[in-house]
Amino acid sequence: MKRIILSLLFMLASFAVFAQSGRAIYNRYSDAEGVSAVYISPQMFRLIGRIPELNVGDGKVDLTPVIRSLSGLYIISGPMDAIGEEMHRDVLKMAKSGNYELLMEAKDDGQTMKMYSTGTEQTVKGFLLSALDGDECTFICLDGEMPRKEFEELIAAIAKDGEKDE
Amino acid sequence: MKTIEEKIHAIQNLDDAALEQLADDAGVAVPTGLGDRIRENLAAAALAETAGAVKTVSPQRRMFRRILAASLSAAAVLAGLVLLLQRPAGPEDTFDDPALAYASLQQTFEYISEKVRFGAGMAEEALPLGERPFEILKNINEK
Amino acid sequence: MENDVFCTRFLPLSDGLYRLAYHLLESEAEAEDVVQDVFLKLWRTRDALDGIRSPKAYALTLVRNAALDRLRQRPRLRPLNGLPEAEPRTPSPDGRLDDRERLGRLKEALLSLPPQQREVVILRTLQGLPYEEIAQRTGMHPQSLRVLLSRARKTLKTKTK
Repeated sequence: MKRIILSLLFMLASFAVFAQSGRAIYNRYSDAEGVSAVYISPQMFRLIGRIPELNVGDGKVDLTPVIRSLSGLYIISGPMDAIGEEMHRDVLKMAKSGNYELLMEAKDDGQTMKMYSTGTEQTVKGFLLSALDGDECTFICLDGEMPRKEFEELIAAIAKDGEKDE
Repeated sequence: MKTIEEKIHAIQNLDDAALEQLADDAGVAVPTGLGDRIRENLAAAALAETAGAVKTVSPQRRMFRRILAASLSAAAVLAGLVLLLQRPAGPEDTFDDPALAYASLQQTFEYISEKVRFGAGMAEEALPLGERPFEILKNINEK
Repeated sequence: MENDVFCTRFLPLSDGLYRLAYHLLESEAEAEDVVQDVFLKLWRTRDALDGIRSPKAYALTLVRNAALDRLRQRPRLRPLNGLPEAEPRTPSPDGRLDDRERLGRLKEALLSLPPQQREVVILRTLQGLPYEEIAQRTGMHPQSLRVLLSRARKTLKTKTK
């Protein structure tokens, strides 16, 4: 009897981990009404990396150095009243169960943002962003083996680039 | 010459047909761009509404969700077994063209960076920085 | 009434409303003011407009009433003689000067956006179009639209602080 219960608990735990992955959140919400969804697979990232001359665009930062270290991108954007609360809760559960570390959070006047990463000191294996902006909510999940320094420098470079546009 | 009172009286007596006739008078030139200016004003009003709007979930919906959650918890054990035995196929790539996928990736990083700037801006306002130093904040601040 | 239905039913009436207002007030500036006020009033009460059988007749009545309110506020010391009058900076009849100023700031901020951002904001917030439709009209990807809209909102917020 105890073994059955323990087996069931183990299976339930495994299910719980799967249910709180980027893929599971994407699968759960991507078909909801009013939702925009983007998924880039490991295979597509490899194809991107093989494009001989990517059209980077004027003034935009070149991402090709990190592309080789990315293995998945999930994006869900949608109306707050349709999916916002539940998706945000799922993201928080995912962050907790996947041992994600809170990098940054901010809240101001109708805008809320939480950013997490998981991995080691040298490597970012997963990055999560959950943003609530007025009547829109967004979830972004990046998977890969990104050198942490490169990842952070890239974000900073784009942030500086963006500041010039303002 | 009509006094204002006379004009007011005359206008009050205009029926719907008369109003419509005046509205259809092609002899009156409409200022250029009137439609655009109206649209812009209404957009500003719509934005003002959005800024102040807070949507709440009705008590009935909350109760429904609780009941639904309880039912789903009971089904979760069985569902977990099924899922583990049969992992669902992965989602399909959104883009067929890697160049489009790359463009989307760029936009995503721009969005992430915008949120970092938002967070960094908040942190600057609430000096000093939080207990968890974050390299990105340092990099942005060291322009 | 849904935003897109409001835009389809009422925005095309603007020219006719202006002509009526001009006839009643004999002033281009006041006529446009009245038309803007009427459209704002219609917008704010759009939830109650579904039952209106004739949007045109309803809107013309609102213009007539707004014009009457303006005339009642004019000084009664001399008769109307068709001469152009100085445009007084008086509060609107229902006293919403603060509201006007706030909207004025928002409108200025909106006009300061780059044209593409401005158009996306208008299509989304005023007409309530879904991203897919805006994407079709503008040729942009829905995700790009969300980024653009997010930036536009941020700019608007900064400029109206």
